Amino acid sequence: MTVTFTIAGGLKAYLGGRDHIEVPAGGTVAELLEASGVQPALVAAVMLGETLVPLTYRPREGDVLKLIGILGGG
Amino acid sequence: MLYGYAGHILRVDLTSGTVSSEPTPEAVTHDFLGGRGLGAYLLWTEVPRGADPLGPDNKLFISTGPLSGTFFPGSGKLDVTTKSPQTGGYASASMGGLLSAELKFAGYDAIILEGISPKPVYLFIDDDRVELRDAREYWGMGSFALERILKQRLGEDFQIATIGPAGEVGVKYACINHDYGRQAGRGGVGTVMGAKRVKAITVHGTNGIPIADTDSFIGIGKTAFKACKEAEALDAWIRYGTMTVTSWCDRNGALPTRNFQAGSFEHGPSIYAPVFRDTIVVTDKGCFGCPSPCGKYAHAPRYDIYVEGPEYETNGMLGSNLGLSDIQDIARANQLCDEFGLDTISTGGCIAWAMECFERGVLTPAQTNGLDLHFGNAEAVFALIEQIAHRSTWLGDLLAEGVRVAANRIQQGSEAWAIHVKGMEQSAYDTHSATSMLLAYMTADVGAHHNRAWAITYDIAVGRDAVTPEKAAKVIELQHIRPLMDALGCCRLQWVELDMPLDLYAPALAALTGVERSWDDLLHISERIWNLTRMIWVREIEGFGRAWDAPPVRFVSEPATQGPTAGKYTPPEAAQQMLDYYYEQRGWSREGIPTPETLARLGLSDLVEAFMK
Repeated sequence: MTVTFTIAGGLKAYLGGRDHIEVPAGGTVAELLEASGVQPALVAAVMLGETLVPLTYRPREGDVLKLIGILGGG
Repeated sequence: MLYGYAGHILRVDLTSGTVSSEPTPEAVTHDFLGGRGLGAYLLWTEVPRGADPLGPDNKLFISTGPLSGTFFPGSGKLDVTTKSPQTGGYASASMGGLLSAELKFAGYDAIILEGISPKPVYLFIDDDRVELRDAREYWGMGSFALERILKQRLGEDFQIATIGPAGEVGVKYACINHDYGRQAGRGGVGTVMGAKRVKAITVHGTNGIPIADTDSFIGIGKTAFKACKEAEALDAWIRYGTMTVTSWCDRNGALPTRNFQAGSFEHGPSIYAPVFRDTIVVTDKGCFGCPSPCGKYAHAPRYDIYVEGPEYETNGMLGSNLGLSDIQDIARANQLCDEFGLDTISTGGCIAWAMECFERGVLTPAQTNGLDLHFGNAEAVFALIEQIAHRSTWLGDLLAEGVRVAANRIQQGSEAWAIHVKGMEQSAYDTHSATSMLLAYMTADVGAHHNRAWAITYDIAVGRDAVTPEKAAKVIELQHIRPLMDALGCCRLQWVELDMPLDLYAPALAALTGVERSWDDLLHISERIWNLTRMIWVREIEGFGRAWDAPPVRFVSEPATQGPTAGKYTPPEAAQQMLDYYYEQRGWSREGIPTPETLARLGLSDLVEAFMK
């Protein structure tokens, strides 16, 4: 079973145009991103449904998480 | 017919108490658009060289842009321009809310406040009925307390901007408040309004805005709104607003911590967006024409106060930068600043400096009037905010001058802990290890403010300590795009956060105004405005040059103390090299002065020559 990261908006440009990444479950968000070749520092927010989750969150099998790019501040 | 504009500028002579209306100069709209561009033009041409920022010769320009009030996404912005009492140079502060649209509906693209009123007044505008009204009974009131009263007396349809006590007593970074939580925050624009004894501006309008090609404009507007509403980041953005960025800054060493001694806060997670949303947010709040309301109205039950915010900048500057780790304490500090009319960024910068001085023994308990100014003491922060706002103690009076002046008076090494550029306290991104962002702060045309170029993400993407011409080019690119939004009268966040396509702006403006301009044309205008604001500094500051673009000493001499950037700082020669790249690409001299060739290329030669003296 896998975990799916969908990639929002401008972040796609930093990730080779990909709009989603599927990775085997097991590990934190940060670990899964690094294993996928995604620099966690480029990700401003990770959303699970309506909830912002930290990079230390351990996704469950079948989870779909949205990656939002580095934001522009206030 | 000047399409896209209300067509008139309201001039208010406060000394004589007279008001007049004059046509909005069409040629100026062609060359400078509106908003910050119109404000810069008016400051350059109407305020004499050497004017005292708090004297009768300085003026306050409140200017909308062509897109203001049109329902184009984010079209609820105006710009307030003046000669800054904080820096002595150019000041420009952008404000959202509903006032911008209302002012155009009343028939005015801009208001010029000139002279000084002999008594406190407020400006009443109801379409073409314009009056200066006695405001003596309101003098001394808090910003939003007064907004509530004026709405009760005039009607909810009036949009209202006020100053608080800080603007009345000349705190150098007093702001203008509006809509219970929107500010023109930086550079002391509220200080100038207070010096002119204008307590409030109230506006009601019933007119429309002429559109050259209505069908096309509505069509482009719908496309733009659709892009925002379908943006994948929209749900996060609406839920958390700018607070979303707090955790990212913390884990990347950009969250200002204890007066920028570090960029990561050991209690960071307690002030992250989910805590904020889940514990104190009551509802979302947006500006005129906004598809993505970033404002969060909050209630802090411990203090039983309501406040719009904190948004990220305030969270950083009044939170981690002061060692505060409870979101309700930060909300309380935010609410006090708003009510007193203080810029939260500068207030946070000044109090953080005082706290560091206290911890290092440079400020004594006798000088703090008994306040225990250790980082993390929320009650001391609240007390000091009030003392600053009223200049009621020696320390409050000192900090009311801003951190540059305060450090120069206290000395004892404290100048190195004063985090500012050109006298403006740096906003909430630590730049120990981010050479693009450091350059952006060094060269921002109002002082150390982030909204001209938010380049720290580029640092992260390409190598945060790299020193390259490409980084300088990125800063310049952003300094043309982001301030362009302030000249158009719209919010940058739809582009920045939601990826609304930039290629919609030029056709929208063309349909609105009937004047065809490409995106490159708009960037050229933005570059023209940028260079004119630079010339304001050159004209107003004796000996202005490279030294004025110096970075805060801390970032080029002291390593960050903790977090992912621990042990890092930017070598001073690296900062200077970035400045060299920047000046060269801008077409400025090694002292940072636009060359005659650059001014000619931008069509500024005659304008600069005519008003340089």
